[in-house]
Amino acid sequence: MAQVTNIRTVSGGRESAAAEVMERKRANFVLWIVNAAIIVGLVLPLVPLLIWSFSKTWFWPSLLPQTWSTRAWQYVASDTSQVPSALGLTVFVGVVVTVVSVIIGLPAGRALGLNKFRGKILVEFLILAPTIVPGLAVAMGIQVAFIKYGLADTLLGVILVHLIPTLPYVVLVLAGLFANYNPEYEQQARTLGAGPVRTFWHVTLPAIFPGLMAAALFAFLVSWSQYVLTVLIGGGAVITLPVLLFSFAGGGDNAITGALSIVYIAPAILILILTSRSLTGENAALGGIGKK
Amino acid sequence: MTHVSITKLTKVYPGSQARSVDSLDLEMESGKITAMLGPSVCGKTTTLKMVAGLLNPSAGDIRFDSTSVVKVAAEKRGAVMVFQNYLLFPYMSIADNVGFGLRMRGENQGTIKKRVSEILGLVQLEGMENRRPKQLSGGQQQRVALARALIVNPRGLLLDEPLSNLDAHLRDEMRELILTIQKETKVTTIFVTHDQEEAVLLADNIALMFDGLLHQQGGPADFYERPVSERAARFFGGVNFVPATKIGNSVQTAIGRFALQGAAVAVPDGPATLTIRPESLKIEPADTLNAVKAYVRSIIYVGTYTRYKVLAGSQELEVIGPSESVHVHKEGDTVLLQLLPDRLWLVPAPDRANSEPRPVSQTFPDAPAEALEAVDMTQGAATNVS
Repeated sequence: MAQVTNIRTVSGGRESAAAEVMERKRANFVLWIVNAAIIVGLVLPLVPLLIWSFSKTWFWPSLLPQTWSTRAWQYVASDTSQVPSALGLTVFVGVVVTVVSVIIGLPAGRALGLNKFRGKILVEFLILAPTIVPGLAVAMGIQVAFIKYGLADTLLGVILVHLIPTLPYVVLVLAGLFANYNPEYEQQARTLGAGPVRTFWHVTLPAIFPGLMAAALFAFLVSWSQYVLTVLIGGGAVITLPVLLFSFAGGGDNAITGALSIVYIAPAILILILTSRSLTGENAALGGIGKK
Repeated sequence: MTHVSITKLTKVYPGSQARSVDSLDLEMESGKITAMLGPSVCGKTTTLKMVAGLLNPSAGDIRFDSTSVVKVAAEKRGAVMVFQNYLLFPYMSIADNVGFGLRMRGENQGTIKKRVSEILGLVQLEGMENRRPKQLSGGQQQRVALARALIVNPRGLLLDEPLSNLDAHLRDEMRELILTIQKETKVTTIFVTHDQEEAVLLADNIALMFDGLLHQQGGPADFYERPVSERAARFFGGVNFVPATKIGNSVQTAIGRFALQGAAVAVPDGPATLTIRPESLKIEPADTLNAVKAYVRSIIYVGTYTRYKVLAGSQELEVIGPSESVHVHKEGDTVLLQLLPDRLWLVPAPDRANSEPRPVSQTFPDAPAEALEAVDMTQGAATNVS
């Protein structure tokens, strides 16, 4: 929409009005292109997966499968596939990782957002570092340490190792949030008789809620999509959805891979749609869906 | 109705060497309005936050009715602060904002509703309960902030620059409202301002602060009639300063010898700076007591008065005369100028002021009791005279 503000004031009123209409048309066109690109890029790749998941036989050069079947979905829903238990475990790990990330990230983000101190840039860089360094390189070193402390092949170990990629996102989103936050609101609440806990509940939390939701969403989705760290630290004992998905993708059964992919992607999309409305506060890091 | 007493209050922020507030002694009388006045970064807001309990003092004591409150948390202290930018909670309705303090005290819903509508009536915002802060003008927001503070019957009402965010006509309205409410509720009120006019209009008592130090404390008139230093006088719009030597009940200057009357007589003899307010100089007086000839350099017609810049000898002076005198005098005239003897005042001469950076009342050790009261400076351990 940036183009709209870029209106040159032309001397004649009618000319400028015409120019404005032209500009707006151009802006609408750009918006349409962007929307189309998002749909093509995000939604279209899911369509072949969906078709695959219901296919029985599908040979070149036909556009659609010759025969259809719900075999893949029946298998995915059965206990033998391990998908239902992996789904539960992935949700559990994601929720725990999200809660812990927010509990650690909230004070860290607040400190970084509100205060200036010596070495702040270094601290910010160190927090960002896990998102820059390749996960595989780090994970090898961590695995050695985790084996030493008996954390390898355990659920606790997987949860801990997921915090490495989630914390940078949470801390940085919250630091950005607190950079625009006025802590005097809390002082105001204190002088009106609210203790520290009630001040947080009635004043701080409502003010940061949209940003906090965005940060939590990041944390959940980063944990949800973690493969390398889960495989290395979980060592086959902790089987989450992405671990299962990779093994099926390697197995060559396209129907099951397709069905599993849908199971894997659907919750992420669902969460995004459900939470998008509460993300559109003034400090929201994301735009909402279906809300202008 | 709480007497607030501050003794030797000192604040040094962590990582700083400077004392933001330096052993401040201040009494805020019960049921009165006290102004802490000073330029920005003079420690006045820091002091206010320490009284509120939002900052811990580095040293010193704060007492409410002779009980120390330094160890009492802000939420239990009962001193409510109203911030300069109102800080209404944006996601709450006006009723929820105003009722916040009562909710925190666990009052029941019925009582809160009743009290909220009462207090909104007091600040002339009846029926605004369901509005949102964003829907209100700046002046209305300030009144909501005031109502939110008053609803808890605070022991102290602490206002941070209460009028400075408002336009001229709203300021008058707000000032009237604060004065009316204060008279009605008798709440001990302390406010902070950088604007001497605001302090004079609102306060019963003014504490002038420079660089974390109390400079002068007294009623509004004291700062106009008996400032303790040239700096204090200048802060209150004083512009006429003449190097002088005080001898007995008169004062010798380069532009003549003038008779003194009133409190200035009690100032010890010796070098001093003579000061007189522009409105206390009389053009073309009836008698010639303390009169000097002066050359009119410029005349500025302000409407309600006329401002002259005149030259007496080599001494430039500013004079405020009645507005109609613009028709009588013109630039280049020579006029007779009277320095009313009871309006003359002496402040320490610049070199003496430098050797004694704290212009406390010991500068005039021989001054009689009533003159001492005028420069009632109680500051610093060694220099305390009261």
